[in-house]
Amino acid sequence: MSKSTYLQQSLLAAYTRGGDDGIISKLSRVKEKGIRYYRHLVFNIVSDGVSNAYPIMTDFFGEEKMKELVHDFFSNQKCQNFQVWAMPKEFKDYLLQYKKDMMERYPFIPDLLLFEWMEIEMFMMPDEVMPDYEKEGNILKDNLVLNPEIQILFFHYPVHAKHPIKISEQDKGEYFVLMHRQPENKDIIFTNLNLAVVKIIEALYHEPLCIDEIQKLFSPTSLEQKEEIKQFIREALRSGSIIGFQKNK
Amino acid sequence: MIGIGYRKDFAEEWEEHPDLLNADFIEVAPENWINVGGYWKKLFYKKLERYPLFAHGLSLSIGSPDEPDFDFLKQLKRFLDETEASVYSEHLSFAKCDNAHLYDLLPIPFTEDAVKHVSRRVKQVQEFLERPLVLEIVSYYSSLAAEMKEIEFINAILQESDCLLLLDVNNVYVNSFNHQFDAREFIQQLPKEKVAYIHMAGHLKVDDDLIIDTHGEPIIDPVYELFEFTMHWLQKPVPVLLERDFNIPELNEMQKEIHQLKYIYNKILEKTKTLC
Repeated sequence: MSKSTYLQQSLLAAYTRGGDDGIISKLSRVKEKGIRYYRHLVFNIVSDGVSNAYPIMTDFFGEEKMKELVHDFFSNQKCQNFQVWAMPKEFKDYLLQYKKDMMERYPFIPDLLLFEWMEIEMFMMPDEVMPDYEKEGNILKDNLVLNPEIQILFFHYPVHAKHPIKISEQDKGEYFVLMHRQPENKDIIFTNLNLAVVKIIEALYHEPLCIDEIQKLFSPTSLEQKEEIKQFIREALRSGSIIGFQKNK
Repeated sequence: MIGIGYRKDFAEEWEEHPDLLNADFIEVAPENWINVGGYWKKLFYKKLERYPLFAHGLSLSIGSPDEPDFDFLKQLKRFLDETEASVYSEHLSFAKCDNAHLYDLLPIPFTEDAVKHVSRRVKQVQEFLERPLVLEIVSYYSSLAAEMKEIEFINAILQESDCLLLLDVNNVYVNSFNHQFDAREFIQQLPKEKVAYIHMAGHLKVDDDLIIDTHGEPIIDPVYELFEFTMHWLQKPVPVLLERDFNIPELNEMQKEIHQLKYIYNKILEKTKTLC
């Protein structure tokens, strides 16, 4: 390809990404109105993709501010993902890397971006191979099988529980959230966790265990704690974060 | 054969009411389904049990000055193999430049060196994918640094690269309006033996002198008329797709458009048979 053809394509691409009107006069034999439409169409695709991926953040900042952020992002970031639905992940990564002042002013934003993005990522991710398991079993005796489509998120702010407008510095703490893709309907479900339950999930992630083995691992001191573990497991079986019971044991 | 662009926006409704929409095949953009699991994959694979698949890509960017993205091509090939897609088509445009995806289709300069560049890339892609590439005439709102006519550019690529042609009748209509040429004359100058696939869609007139190819409106009568003209000219059965990407109407509204396309398609082909 000749340098001049390449240059024209490069200039048009740069214009659609950044909207710098000064570029238009450098484009050869074009219709200005049509060229402006390309910028409009490209920007709308990116802006809509980002707003749909981050509805809570869009609601918090408002559409104008979000458009400013999208403009900044798309002008500077060379998007690498060929899938437009995955492009908002690059938006998240761009803000985290380059918008330090925004993160200082709104320290819950990194958590919010992660929370909103992970829901999409897990909803869309390729299917994991499901281990052999039985749906029916004895909750007190049989080994429990964890859903492989699962992830634990750690937040400093309760972005999963409160609208960002209501979050203050007093909310700062440690929040564990379990997210999993429900095996039948493939919905994404979020569950609040405490540290003890995080450890149960981690143990089950390595191998199927029965409730006695789980209790031995964590030596709960009170009846109340034992009951809490059982209660979590019953709820996890119902919601699908634990998919069932190991076969042939 | 009349197919429908399978979109997530109506996938659930079609699954619940399969009889509301009767198509002969479905078409998807591989980019929207590659490495996708969960709910959407479940629905998509159910449809694949019933319908042949045509794949119509978005990110190949055949006119890009950049080197082809072989990692993407690997994933694409796997998808086409896994889904047993009967056709793989793409756009005669560029959607990536200077290593940045643009997520829309931009016009390639109609120049001699672009013909050579695109033709070389088509051959590379066909060889890698081990299947023919069918290239679509795209709608464009301005040409860029053009040194030849659009029809000369398209025909030169078809000849030099040996790829096939996706004739998007609505795009020809849109381009003829935006750039003031005769759509029928344009179609007649195409090599009919190369036409492997036809697209039909709606568009939006945004100004007195500009139409945007939105795929968000019903097909208008002049585009049906141009389709009828195209079928007369072609005189052979070619798969036809109804594209609807935005403002998705009730399924029965899309079915009416499929009926209309089928009616024209069968009418012309019957006439052709009789004449033969």
